[in-house]
Order: sequence, then C-alpha cells, then structure tokens
Amino acid sequence: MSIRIFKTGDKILIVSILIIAGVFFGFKALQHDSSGNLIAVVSQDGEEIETVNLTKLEDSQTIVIEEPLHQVILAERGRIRFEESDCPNQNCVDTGWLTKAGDKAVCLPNKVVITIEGEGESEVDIFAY
Amino acid sequence: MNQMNTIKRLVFIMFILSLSCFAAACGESPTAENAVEAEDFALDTIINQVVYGENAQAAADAVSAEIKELDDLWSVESAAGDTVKLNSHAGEGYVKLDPKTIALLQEAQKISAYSDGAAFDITVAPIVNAWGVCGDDPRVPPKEEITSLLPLVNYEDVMIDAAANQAALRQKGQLIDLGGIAKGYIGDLAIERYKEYGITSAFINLGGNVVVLGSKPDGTSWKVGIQNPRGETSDIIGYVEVSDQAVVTSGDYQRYFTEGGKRYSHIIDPRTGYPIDNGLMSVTVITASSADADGLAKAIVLGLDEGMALIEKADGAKAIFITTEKEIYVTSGLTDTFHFEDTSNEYTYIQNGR
Repeated sequence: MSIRIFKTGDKILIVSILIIAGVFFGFKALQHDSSGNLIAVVSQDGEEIETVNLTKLEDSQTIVIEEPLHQVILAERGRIRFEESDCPNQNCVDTGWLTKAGDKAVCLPNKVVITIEGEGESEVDIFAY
Repeated sequence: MNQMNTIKRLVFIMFILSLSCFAAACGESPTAENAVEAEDFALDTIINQVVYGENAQAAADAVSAEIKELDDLWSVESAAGDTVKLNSHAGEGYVKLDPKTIALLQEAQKISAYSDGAAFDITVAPIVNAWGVCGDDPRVPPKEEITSLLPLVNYEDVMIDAAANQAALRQKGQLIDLGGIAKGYIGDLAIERYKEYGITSAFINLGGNVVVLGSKPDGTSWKVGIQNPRGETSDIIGYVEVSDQAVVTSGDYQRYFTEGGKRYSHIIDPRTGYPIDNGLMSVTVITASSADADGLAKAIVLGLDEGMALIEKADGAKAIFITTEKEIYVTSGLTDTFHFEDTSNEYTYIQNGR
C-alpha cells in the first residue's frame, strides 16, 4: 500500500523550490570564493595607500613612503615586509616577512600598517596580543 | 484524506519558510554588511574598531575622538596632560585634575589593591624609566639604583580627593604611569559609548586588548585568538569564544630587550624592581570589564600558582597562563570557552592541572 501524500504538481513545486534554494546557496558560496589569493593592504593613518595581490605578483614591487618618515616596503610573490625605515625603534623592520592571511606589521611612528587579507584566513575574528 | 491535505499544507509551508531563510541568508542581514571599521594611532599603540548597525559610523567616530582626548590627558608625553601635572608636583601636595583622571586613578587603586600592589602598581614608573624598556635605549641599571628607587614604589602614596577633583603623590620623586591601566579603562568607555548609540554588536582592539560588545551580527560568539608568546601576531595557541567580555593579555613578548643573551621584559615586578623571570610568558584574562582584565593580567608578575589563585578569587574572571615550558593552564571557569589549537605544535594544554 502506498500513501500518496504528494500529487505530481506538488512534486514539481517542491523540486523547483529545492532548485531555487540550491541556486541561492551556490551563489552565496561563490561570493565567498576561496581563490586563495593573498592580498596585502598598506595603509597610513587609517587610509589605504596600496593594495598588492601577493599571489599574482610576478616581479617584486617596492612601495616608498616619504612622509613623515622615509620608509620602503618590499613585496614579493607571496610575501611582504618593511624593508627600510627611518623610525627610531625599527620594530616594523624587525617584524620581518608577512606570509599568511591575518599577518600584520605596524610602524607606530609613521602610522603605517601592512595587513594580509585573503581566504583561508584564520577562523578567529579578532587577535588578542 | 483531510489529514493528508493538512500534511501537504504543512510540508508546503515548511518549504516556503526554508526558501525565505535561504534568500535572507543570501542577501545577508543589513547589520552584517554595515560594518564600520576605524583605525587610530593613540595610547602608544594601534587601535581598531569594528562597529555594526545603524549609527555605527557616529559611534566609531565618537570613540575615536574620545580616545584622542584621553590620550592627550594621560600620556606621559603630553606636557599639558594630567600625568605630567601630577608627576611634576610629586611631594608638593594636591593638584587639580580632570574628573576623568580622578576616576582612572580610583580604578587603578582598586586594581592595585587586588594584589596589595604585588602585581600591579602605577607608581612603579621610576623603576620602569631606569630600565628604559619602553624607550629607544634600554639598559640593565645598577643594583644600587634599583634599591634606591624601590621606596618610591607604593600605590598607597597616590592620594585621591575625589570630591575636590584633586590628587597628590606623597613623596618627592614619585611618578605614575597610567599605561598599564588606561587602555583597559578606555576599552570599557568605548563599550559604554557604543551602547549609548544603540549599537548591539561591535569590538575594539586597543593594541591587543580586545573588548567585544554583544555577539557577532550573526548571533554567534566572537572568536578571539590567543597569541603564541613566541610567534607572530597571527600565530595563536587557541581561541576563546566570548560575548560581552574583555580579553586582555600581559606577556613578556610585548616589549622587551635582550642583553647578554637574556630577555628583559617591560613587565617590572613592583616588589623587586626587576623584570619578571618566574616561568610565565603570558597571562590572558577574560572578564566583563576591560579595566579589570587589564589589571588582573598583571597576575603574570605573581607566577603560576599565586597568579592562578588571584584570578580564581576575582569575581567572574577567568584566565589562560602560558609558561616558559610552553605549558598552558586555564582557570576553572574556562574549560568550555577555551579551544586549544596550537598551530606550532609546541605547546601542551594541561587540563585540570591545577
């Protein structure tokens, strides 16, 4: 004995709703596309001054900051660092290479921050340090 | 047959409902997308805010402005500020101060009293200056110098007359540095401001001091990473899941210098005048008030056993202790909140160890 809960029309409706839902899901997943690109963002006093796609970088690239302190940032494929800085404590240069999403180097005297953004980012929302 | 129809209708309604859920998730709720981010350089560090919802921009701007104002008031570098005013009149009686400074001094006294000045004491500044750990030219001062400065360290010598908005340092030569408490105190102020602007979801990160308001816009807890004391900022040993809490770490890695192969931290034991060297690398405190968290994180000075005891005694506070042996201990309230995830594979989580 088979109990017919759904008529053919119902089945079509249900299937089409499932398809629409599937498309929505797929679209959403696409928006969060994990291309795996590492994007370095350089900002000064909160203003973005340069964005570099480290994953797609062919040749090394330097970003020179002149004011208030002279500073050279070096980007290579997959990594970026403060190369030179005229700041007194050299903390930024000492930080070394940034290589993965979430990595950050800060030069307080020059108010310059390098951050690496990108997919595969750490599962945490905030870093306490 | 009637029953069949009811089931059909139910199933149909369920599908429509789930569809609208998907659609909503796809569009994202407006609050999640309306994140306002702000970055400020103040309090000798970098401050990041992420604020969600209506009024987020106004709230973040108000907090940024307030931080700058308080930085000017409390920095040892601002000549017209209250810290300089109080320090320059040490041993000369009361000086008028901003009511905000009085409130901060009272908070500092409260936190110093937790450990009777053993872990935290705002009058340790003369010795911190002697070491120069926070300057560009750190050094190991001669023993006699430290011995001669130790009598100046006593938080009870900070006399506060709140009614008249004035305070005094009892002895000549005494100095205070509010750096160990200002970030914590301002974190609480920021959360208060967010609430005034009707914000229900936000966080502020004051140079590593994290304070979260509410939960994330999607309703889940914030995941706050705990720094590997010997790694980069994004290298963590695990995370805590929190809502409406502050997460503050005191660590020997935050500021230090090395001389003769030895690491000298910026955290000075107020009892000895020497940087901590007690087998702890970091203490992270999780509690509702960020001023409390900031103050209690100085339990790092006390060492593992005494430090754990201090946290257990403090109302609602929990903590993560990391030893130089790379062992991780947590206080009793934290076993469910802390997730041990050490990417370096160098640390051991000692559960129920204490």
